Amino acid sequence: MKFENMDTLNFKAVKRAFVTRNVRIEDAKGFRSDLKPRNGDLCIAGVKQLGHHQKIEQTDGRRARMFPGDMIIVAYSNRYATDQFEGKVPEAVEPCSLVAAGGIAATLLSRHSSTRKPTELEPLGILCREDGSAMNVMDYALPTAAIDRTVRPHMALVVGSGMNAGKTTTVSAIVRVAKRAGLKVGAIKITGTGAGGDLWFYKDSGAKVTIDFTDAGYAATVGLNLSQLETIADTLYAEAAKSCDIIIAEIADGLFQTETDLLMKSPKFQDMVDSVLFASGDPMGALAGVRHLRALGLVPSAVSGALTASNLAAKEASAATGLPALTLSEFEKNEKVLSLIMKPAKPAKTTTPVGIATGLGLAKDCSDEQFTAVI
Amino acid sequence: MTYSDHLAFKEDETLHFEMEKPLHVRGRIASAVTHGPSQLSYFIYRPQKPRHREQVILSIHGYTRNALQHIIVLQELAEEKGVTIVVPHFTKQDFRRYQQVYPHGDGASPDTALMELVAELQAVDDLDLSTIRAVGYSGGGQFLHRLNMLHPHFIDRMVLFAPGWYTMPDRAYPYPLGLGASEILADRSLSLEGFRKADVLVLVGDNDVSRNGSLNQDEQIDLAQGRTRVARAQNWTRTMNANLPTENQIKLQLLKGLRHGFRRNFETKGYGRLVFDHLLADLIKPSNLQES
Repeated sequence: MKFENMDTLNFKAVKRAFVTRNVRIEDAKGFRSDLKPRNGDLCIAGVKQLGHHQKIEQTDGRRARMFPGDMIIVAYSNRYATDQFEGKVPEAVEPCSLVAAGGIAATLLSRHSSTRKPTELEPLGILCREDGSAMNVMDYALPTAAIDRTVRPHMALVVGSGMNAGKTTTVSAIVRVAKRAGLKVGAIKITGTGAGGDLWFYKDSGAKVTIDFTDAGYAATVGLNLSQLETIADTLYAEAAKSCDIIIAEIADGLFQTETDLLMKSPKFQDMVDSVLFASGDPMGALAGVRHLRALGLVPSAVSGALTASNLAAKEASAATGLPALTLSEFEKNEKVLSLIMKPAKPAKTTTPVGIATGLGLAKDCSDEQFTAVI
Repeated sequence: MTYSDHLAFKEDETLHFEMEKPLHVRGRIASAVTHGPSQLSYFIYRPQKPRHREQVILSIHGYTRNALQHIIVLQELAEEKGVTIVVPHFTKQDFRRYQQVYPHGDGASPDTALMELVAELQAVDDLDLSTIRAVGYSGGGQFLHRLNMLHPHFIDRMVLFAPGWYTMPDRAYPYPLGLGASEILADRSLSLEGFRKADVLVLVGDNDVSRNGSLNQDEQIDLAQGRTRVARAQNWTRTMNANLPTENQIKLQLLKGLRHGFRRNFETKGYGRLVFDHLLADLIKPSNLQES
């Protein structure tokens, strides 16, 4: 075991990334470079050269500037961002990249053509406890607990056509209107890459509880299997349900992203969902998304998102989908907007006509018995 | 049916996926709209284990129109008692003066809208609306007692929780201050007959004496009924009871230390249970009788 004592570092000068915010850092007594990194392991690294990310989001949300030679604590994880980086957990403690400002260290696989090279990191090792065991964000996850209430709060799910479709803005709008209606609102983000931006947005909008997959023990959710994803959803929902009247949930990326696809086809997850809103950047995307959701057995109550910035696009989307297109002004002024949003996503007493999908991408075939995916 | 078949559906064909019977969802809040001309929005919560032949309780919100908060706060009681809760949503846009039971512009009158809702619910097989039981909080209490004057045979049991002011049984004052003729009454008539039939309980916190923006501070009301919710409840109950036979007296209960606020009173302070116990009193056998 190649255990190096933490005392050699000026620990107070180390910048801790957002995804490590639940970690009890005093547990760290040293680091090891002989371990194989696992998803969520805490990595102490030096900044070698600045690239795309010049700042790191800290545990309190402040985005601190980085300089070459700085020491940072991040988490190893995978990364999937169509407009930024694709990365995977490195095979060993070796030079790697900062692929998300929230603090994800990964081996770079690909990047968007307009994105600069990532900031380069030189890891010292994986943070360890006194006994030499690796510290992982999962060790500091919320406990999975059953809901201790006779009733379950309504869960409105916001999904979208892709990144920047307006999902978080839609969640924020629902949070505000629900808060105005005198409700205690929970906002949860089930999948994505650890970063505070969305959580701060939820909090600023008035949500009483704001938690995400990092609170369930994952720095990022790309590459997780369905069981892990369902556990995240269960954990976050149960935590928010302890004190909230209504829970607004967001799933990152578009419906065709692997983990989103898995969750949306999961009967267990579908059973948690009371209503669905679809956010899209354009009317064509809205129609495709609404049809896809219907084919999965979920009826969205409305469409929203970036497309509603244009009244014309909103009208197109509404005409195409047959659903209301909720603009931000509609959220503010329409007294019935919550009843509209809460329209049930599934017919009562009807079994979901889908099974569990196992592959990537688009669903190919769907029947009562089986659901297969294009791989 | 394949996924591709679903994708190939035209929009009008996919409508079968829509919630045709949202009222059949149990254990979850559902929102719906009446099919009739009023198009009244409402929330409904049906318990997972119904009792009392699945009695329905109507809850009428106050002037903040917090219908969703009503259904959320009351759903645990719905489960405990095994009853269904229905909360109509009288929006400001469509039912501006619902507390005074008259239509806004060319829109539907709130009483007609409520009756339309009840008629639609009566068509649902396993809901029991053979007796109409309702609670009205604040402005909802105003609505209910006036509804009982306009439609004396509609409501059987009601709890008026902290209404801001009342229609007094006095024909010298025009409606809604009294029973006298007024423009907003149009050709509708008023009577106290409903109070000879219905069981009526008035609840108000003995500390609900604040004269803030939620209380109508009209000079005429202050003079005729008093300056606080407590004084107005006492005056109204006393005057009404003077016009009612002994066996149909309206009961008034002052709740110690209680101020105004739906959620605080129904949930935090737990008086929602008192309301439900009263509304269901004739259905619940005393425990000693059950044991014998």
